[in-house]
Formats: sequence, C-alpha cells, structure tokens
Amino acid sequence: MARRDDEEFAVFVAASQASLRRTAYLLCGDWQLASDHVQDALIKVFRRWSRLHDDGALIAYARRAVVSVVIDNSRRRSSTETPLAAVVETAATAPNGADELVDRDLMLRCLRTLPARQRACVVLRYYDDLAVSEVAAALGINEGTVKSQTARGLTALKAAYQQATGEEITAGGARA
Amino acid sequence: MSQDLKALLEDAVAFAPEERHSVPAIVAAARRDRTRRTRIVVSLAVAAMVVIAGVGVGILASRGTGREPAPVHKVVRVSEARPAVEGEDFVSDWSRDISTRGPMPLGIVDSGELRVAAHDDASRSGLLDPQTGRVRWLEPPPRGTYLFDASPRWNIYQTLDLEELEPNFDVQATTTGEWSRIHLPRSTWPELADQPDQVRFGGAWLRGDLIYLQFMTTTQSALMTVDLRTHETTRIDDGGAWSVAVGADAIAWAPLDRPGTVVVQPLDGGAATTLAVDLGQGCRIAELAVTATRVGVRQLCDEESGPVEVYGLDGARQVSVVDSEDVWLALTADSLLLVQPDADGGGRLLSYAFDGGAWTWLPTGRNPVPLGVAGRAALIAWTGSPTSDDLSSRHFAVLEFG
Repeated sequence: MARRDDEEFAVFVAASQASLRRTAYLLCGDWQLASDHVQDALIKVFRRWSRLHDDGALIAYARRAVVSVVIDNSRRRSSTETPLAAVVETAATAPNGADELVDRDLMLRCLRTLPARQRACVVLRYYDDLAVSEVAAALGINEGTVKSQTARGLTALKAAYQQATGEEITAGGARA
Repeated sequence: MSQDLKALLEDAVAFAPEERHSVPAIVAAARRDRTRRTRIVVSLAVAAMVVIAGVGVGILASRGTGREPAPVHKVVRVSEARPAVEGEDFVSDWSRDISTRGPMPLGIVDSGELRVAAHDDASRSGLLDPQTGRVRWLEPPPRGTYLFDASPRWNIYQTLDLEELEPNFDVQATTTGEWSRIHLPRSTWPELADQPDQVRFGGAWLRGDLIYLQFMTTTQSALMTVDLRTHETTRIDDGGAWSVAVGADAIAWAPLDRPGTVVVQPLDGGAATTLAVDLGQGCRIAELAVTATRVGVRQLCDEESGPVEVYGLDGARQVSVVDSEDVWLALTADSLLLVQPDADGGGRLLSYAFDGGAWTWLPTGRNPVPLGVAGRAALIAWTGSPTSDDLSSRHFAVLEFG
C-alpha cells in the first residue's frame, strides 16, 4: 500500500473512529472492548482499502465490519451473558444518588437483554439513523429481516425498560 | 412519562472515556497485520512447496505408505455443537404449525417466498412472503396439479403420471398468461448404465428458462434440461454421474468416468470448474450440494456413511466433518446444514457457520428436514416440539443462518 493510501487511511480513521466506537459500545456495553472491536474492524478496512476507496463504500464497510466483529465476539462470550431478570433487578435497585449514571447504565443493560442481531438492528436504526436498506447492507441480511428484527428488538427493549423504570420508551423518526 | 429512544441512546454514549488507541497506532496495527498476513501467505506457499516436494520424495522412497500432506483446512466435529441462540446463530423469519388451518408449505423458491397450497384445496397454490405472512394466490392450472416452482417469468405445475411414473409440467408464462404442457415419456429419459431398467424420475428445479431434471437409479444419476421456450431437452452430465446438485447459482455433478471429481457449472454462463475430491478407499460421492461459492460433498464408503467435506470453487478443501452420520446435507450461503441421527432416532438439525467456525444445533422437534434453500435461508420441517413428546403436530419454519 502506498504512503498516500496510508495517509488517506489515517484521515479516515480520525474521522470515523469515535462514531464507530460509540456504535460498538452500544452493541457490546464496554468501552475497552469497543475500542478493540473498532481496531479489529479498521484493520479489516485497511486490508480492502484500495477496493473500498474506489467504490466509495468505506463507512458502510467499516460499520459492517464493526457489527460483524462485535457479533462474532458476542457468540464466543454468549455463555457468560447475564439473564434478563438479573439485569433488570440490578438496574432497578441501584442507589438513588447516581441517577444519571444509572440511567446510562440501564439503557446499556436493557440493550444487553436483546439477541445480538436485534440489538444491532435497533442501534443502527435508532442511534446511527440508518435506513432499513443501509442496515440490511451493514448486517448482510434482507430488508424484511431488518424490519422484523428491529420490531422484535424494540418490543423487548421497551418491555425491559418499562419493567426497570415504569416508564415507556417512544421510538419515532427512524428513516424508512 | 415516556423517554425518547434516540435521546436515551445518545445519553448512554455521551461520556466516552478517552480513546486508548491513537490514529497512528491503528494505522501501524493495520500495517503490521497486513505484513504478517503477507508473511503467512508466503510461508504457506513455501511450506506447500516443501510438502509437495517432500511428498514426491516420499512417494518415490516409500510408495504406498499412505502419507498425506498436512491439512490446511478446518477439521470439525458435530459433537462440538452447542444449542443455537436465536438472533445470533439464526433468525426465524416465519414459522407455523400446520395442524392448524392455513397455507401448507411445499417448498421455497429462489426469491425466498414459500410455495404453498391451500389447506382445504391442494390444487390451489400460491406464494407466501415469510416476512409478512401474506399469500399471493396464483391462477389455477388447467389440470389439477401442484405448484413446483415459480419465478418472475414462469409458474410451473407438476403432476406425475402414476401409472408410468413420468413427469408432466403445466407451464404458465407470467408475461402473457399462456399455458403449455411438457410431457416427458420414458423414451426421452437419459440412459444410466448400471440399472437401465430401474431408472426413475428424481426431481426438478426451475432455473431461468430451463427446468433441470434429475433421473436416477440406486447408485447413479443423470441431469438434463428442458427449455421452457422451445421444450427442447439437453443432457448435461457427461454421460452419467454418481450424484448431481442444482443450486440457485450453479449446478454440480460427479462424473461416473472420473471418480473423485466434481464438475461445477455456474448458471450465469461462466466456465465450468472441475474440483478434485479426496475420495477415500472404497468410497463414492453419494450426495452433493452447491452454492455460488462452495460445494458440499458427502461420501459413502462401503455403503456406510463417509466424510462430509466442503470445497471452495477454487478447489481448496475448506471444511472436513470427521464424525458425521449425516442423513441430509444442504448448503446455505454461509452455513452447512446436516441432519444427524440422535439417540432416540428422531434426528437433529445442525448448522456450521463458515464465518464463525462454530457448530450449533437448532431447536426443532423430531425428524427435521431442510426442504429447500434460498440464499441464507432454509425451509425446515419437523414434527412435534423441542420440549414435548407429543408428535401430533407438524411444523415448518424459514430459518436464516449466518
């Protein structure tokens, strides 16, 4: 790879890294892991840099790589995940003095109750504001599956959040 | 009180700790990885040359010792399978118990839609969208037959002449609505040398403007096509095959006169490829499955279950399953599906993800069977439920793998 490609890759990393890391964090719930996943994903991007750079698919491929790395990793870790009941109970009984921290933590814990692919659909649709077709491309599944997985994920997420807080989540404004 | 999801998600990531990796560190890591991979490739090439040279010397020095080069592919065991997790290992796009009223699944077409018949009128056929559950009922054929395949250009209905066991096809061109009939008497069937009097019709698949037809004896198969526009038949299996497979993107057959090889012909008109299969002593190719990128091969060794292997279309052996007692073999775009007998004889459906390299078993009831594949999805049928001994119900599901 030429030095110019190295420089362009560095610019891309600088521009996309923080956003990819936030997405990875919502998917895996751990900032350190998220950093590692993003690094792994960016290495994948680098391997295909010339081809991706030519067809303008950089950020879509990078996002797909991040999701793929997180889901692959979650498969390996699935036996250690915490059951829903324990998650919600822990969140609901946290001390009042740390409300803001608990709120952030609670959303992560509720997300963790979703299967990895449903979680990815919800995060990509409602955090990254991707259209159904873009989520389908990022996850390598068809659009119908994105819709059904998003709907199931959203239902489960709302239920977990309501169980923990008594409050409802509204989810409007996602792109078609 | 309600909270906006977008705001909650943004809040959850609002206080990100400082990034551990600087941009130069990631660039350096990526470059190190690229260099390492290049070294591995070079090392493997050198190692392969050494192995080839070594094997050559070995054959000359000790012919017949049976030594083989070190494998560079994945050797996997179905006994390592863990329970599949829905949403991670597979997605259930659609499922139902057909003991209740509703459309009866017959198969899956390349678009991913299900061929279905009406519950109370088997001659009424349609296409069911697994995502919505809606059925598009089709115009019934002139004779009482069932829908065997459909594409944007053709709807094909099939009947079997029960006296002669000869297939008939009623074909509707969707653009004009016109019907025609294709009759295939025995005189038009391909010959098979081992049991010429025992040839029977094995199955049919619609691909483009052609119907691919399999004819078979106990041990051999032949593949021919019928052009729906001209009704012209063409044999395409090199004079007989151990086994044939028709996928959505390619066909494959194992020629009788070249044991240990599989010919793969892409359906887009691309050049055919011949792959070498590592055939064991006393083994023959008993079953094939083919996708746009892979071929699955099941061997039968002295008429007992032999190894199942998956090859890339470049000829590289990718996966060997060494403890399979396979009774069904199917390939989706990203996974290998096997049905294995279990302790109580009910069978278990297992999926191997090529990407993740993991075996899982699917939560079906007894006797699971993959009825068809479309891309990443497969239509699976079984009886009973995973948690009950009640076998009175029959279930169908479209599962998406990978």
